[in-house]
Amino acid sequence: MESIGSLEEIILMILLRQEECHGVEIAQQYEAAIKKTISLPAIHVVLKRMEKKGWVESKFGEPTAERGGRRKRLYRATPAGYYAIKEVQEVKSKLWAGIIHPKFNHGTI
Amino acid sequence: MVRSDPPKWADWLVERICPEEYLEEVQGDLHEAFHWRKEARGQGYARRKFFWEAIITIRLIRFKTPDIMKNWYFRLLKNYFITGSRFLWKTRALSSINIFGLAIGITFAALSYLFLSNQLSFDRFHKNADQLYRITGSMEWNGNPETMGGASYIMGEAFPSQVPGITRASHIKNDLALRPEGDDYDYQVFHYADRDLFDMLDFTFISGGPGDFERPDQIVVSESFAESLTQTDDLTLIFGDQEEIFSISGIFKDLPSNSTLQPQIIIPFSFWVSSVPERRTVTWFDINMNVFIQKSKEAEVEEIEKAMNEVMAANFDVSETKARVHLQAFSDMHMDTSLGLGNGLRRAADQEILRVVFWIGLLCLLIACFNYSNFATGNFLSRSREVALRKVMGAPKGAIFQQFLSESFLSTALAGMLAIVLVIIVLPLFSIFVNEVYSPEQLLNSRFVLGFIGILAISTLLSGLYPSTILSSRKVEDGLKSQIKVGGKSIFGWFLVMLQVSLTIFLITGMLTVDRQLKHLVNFDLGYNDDNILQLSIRDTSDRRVDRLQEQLKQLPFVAQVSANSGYNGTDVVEEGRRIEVAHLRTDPEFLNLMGIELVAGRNFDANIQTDGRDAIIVNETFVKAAQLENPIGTQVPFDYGDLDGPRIIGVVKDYRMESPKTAIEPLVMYISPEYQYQNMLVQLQAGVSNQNLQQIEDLWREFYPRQPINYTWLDELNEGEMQTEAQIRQLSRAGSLTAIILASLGLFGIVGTHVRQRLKEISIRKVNGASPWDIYRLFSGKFGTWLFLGFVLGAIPAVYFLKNWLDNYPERIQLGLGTPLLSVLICGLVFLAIISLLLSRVIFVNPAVYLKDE
Repeated sequence: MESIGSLEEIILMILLRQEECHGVEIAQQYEAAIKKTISLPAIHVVLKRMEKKGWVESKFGEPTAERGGRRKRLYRATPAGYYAIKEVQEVKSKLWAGIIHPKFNHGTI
Repeated sequence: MVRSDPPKWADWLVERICPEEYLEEVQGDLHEAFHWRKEARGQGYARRKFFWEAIITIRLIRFKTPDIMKNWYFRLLKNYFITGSRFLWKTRALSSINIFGLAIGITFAALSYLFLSNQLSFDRFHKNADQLYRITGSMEWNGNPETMGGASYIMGEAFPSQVPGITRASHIKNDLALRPEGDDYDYQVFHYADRDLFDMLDFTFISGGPGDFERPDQIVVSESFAESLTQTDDLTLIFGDQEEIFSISGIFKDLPSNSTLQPQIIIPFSFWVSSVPERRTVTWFDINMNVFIQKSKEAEVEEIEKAMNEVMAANFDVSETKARVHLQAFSDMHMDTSLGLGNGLRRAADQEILRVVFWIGLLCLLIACFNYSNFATGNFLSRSREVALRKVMGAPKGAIFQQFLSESFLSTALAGMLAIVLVIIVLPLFSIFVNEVYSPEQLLNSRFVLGFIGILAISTLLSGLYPSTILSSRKVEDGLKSQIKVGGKSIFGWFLVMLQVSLTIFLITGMLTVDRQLKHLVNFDLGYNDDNILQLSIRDTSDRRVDRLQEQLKQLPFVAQVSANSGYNGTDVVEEGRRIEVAHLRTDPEFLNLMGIELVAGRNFDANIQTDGRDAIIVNETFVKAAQLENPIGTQVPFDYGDLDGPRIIGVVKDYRMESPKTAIEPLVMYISPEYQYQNMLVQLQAGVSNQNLQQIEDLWREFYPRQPINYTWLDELNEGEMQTEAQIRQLSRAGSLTAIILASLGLFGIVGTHVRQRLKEISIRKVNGASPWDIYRLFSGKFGTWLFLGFVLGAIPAVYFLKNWLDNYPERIQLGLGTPLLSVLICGLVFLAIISLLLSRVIFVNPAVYLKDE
């Protein structure tokens, strides 16, 4: 099992929520969800890495005017991507389930 | 809005920084994001962000595809391999048979190559190899030229000092001595050499060195020999009755196995000089050793030869004998067997085995490649639609050609991998066949690796050219119409099968003939009885002691007869101006009885007749014929050896094979005069001897010769040992023909299968119209039969021609009639018939409905 980075995890989840989307859409959804800005090349790098791992696949989409007539590259999560993230999430929720009463010993550290 | 576009210069930056292949996507995204950010947070922010992101697109460089991958040709090849491997997988049953066949062919070719390249590499590894020569001699006697693969001591002394151009020289000679091992003694082979040898050849000393190599008692030994010693500073050897203690001054690395010279112990030549009478060191034509010279780089070989002959002529009268000396290149010694080795040099290459291995390797590879061609052509037919589509999409003929060639490369590569495994598995067996020592590590040397790649390249071409040509030249319409018939009447395919069949016939006929000839030689009536006869080697100068040993052996209850002899030697007898080359043998009166040799006239030697020692000889029939004697008994023969003085013939024996059935019968003279030292003792045992009896003989031997280990062989085994080459050829040809017939069957399987598949529909229609199974059988078999018949004929004729030549080497040979080729045709015919019938049964018993239904 290849390890999954936290940015990878978030982008993969964004992709899994819809059919397909391109870099700018991902950035928009990221900023909407996380409330932080992100630079596009960072997203591109993560996408290329995940494509190599086989978690996402991509194809060219249609060109638009605001892109200066350039085509989009549309990304889509693969089943392998789904299972990769599913496993991580299950482990995390299992751990989370064990945390019912957080044990904070205020002031005595 | 004042300016809605991102800054031009930042765009320019992206175009410089971002890898080409991602530019469209990234630049587009950046533009889109610019507009989005301008809407959301204003132009300034968007511009700053754009500028920053333009710079960090550099991070994408990590994901740049290597340039080679972007090359369209590379992608095309990759695509070919993917399509190819998918197709192989789809047709895995057929493909694996095919690849296996190819692997067998490659295995044979690789083994032959290993053997041949190793043989050809002999003695070439020394860095001075091209400057090294061996002195050889020739002389003429009554118009008969004779060549000698050796030289005399004086040659090795005189030439280097008097002939310009010779920079180094060394004598080489080997000998036997006894070596004490605990309480036992064993024979030990050793070499004599001069100091220069260590500089001429590539010797590496791992400890010590030869020093000046002058002192007769300072020697060097090989690493492997040193390992067998318990103490490594001195070595005791026994020469005759003299015990010598040598001190070891150096240990050298063993010379590689492809060296003709394999010394274990090297003793300075000064030891030999001090141990022989002086005349041995000054006689010009006392050829009993080898002399190697190293010439200077500039010197011409012819010049040196000329100068050597001048030096010799100045010291030695060569007018009568026309004696001359020559130079033989050091690296030719192994392959050129005309001069003979010996005197410290290991056995030479066996030309016959070389030839057989070469042909079997080549033929098996050819058969396997033809096979693949045929098989692949049939198999690829199912891909005509793919080919047609590629062509419609614009693929030129060349591209299709390349595609199928690369697919055959894929198969060849797979077959090659399998072949490597096969080679490793059969290597030990092969080593025994060809009488060499090969280890798997030898497969890693660069010579073999290059050769193996060469074999793969050749087989890719041979196996891929035909299917590639056929498929690439098909018409697009035919492919799309799923017109299955290919390449006209596929005459070329049948031609290949025919070639295969003829090669198979060739090999099988060869195998059967070698088999029969060997059987013939082994069962050949030698003219004497070699059963239950033990031959002991004797090294004793005293006839007395040998006689006593003979007496004592006779006393043993299980011994029938005992006889001693000198072994066969050769000389000339000049009778009335005619010169007869004769073999002669010193023996005793028991010899004829023991061997069961028949006397056709006269009498045997008689120990009670005093004059027999001086006056009597017995000759064989060939001698009588050669000397043209009308009435041989009582004839005086000028054979004055030792005590013999004009002896008379007292008996004539029937011809028998003296040495082996492979050599012709020579004129023979036997005598009992003690000129030659006894070499062999023949002990005939009663039937049913046990190891215990042999032990008794050994014990008796030990009483006589406590220091010499006993050395005996069964005479019949000795005779069979003479047949080693033939036995090897038999093994090789058996393996070769078995492979050939398997491969040819595979080929036939391929082409007949293709044919049958192509005509299933036609046959179904014929059946519907009432054709009987027999009609259909005839329809096919007529065509197959013609081609097979052609193959049989084309294989049998060269086989008979070739084998007749081979058999001519033997004085005793089988008659090569029509029987052997016919038998091999019969064997092949039956196998092929079985295959054809098996495949035809599919069409003959087919339900026509199945194949007519889909239209």
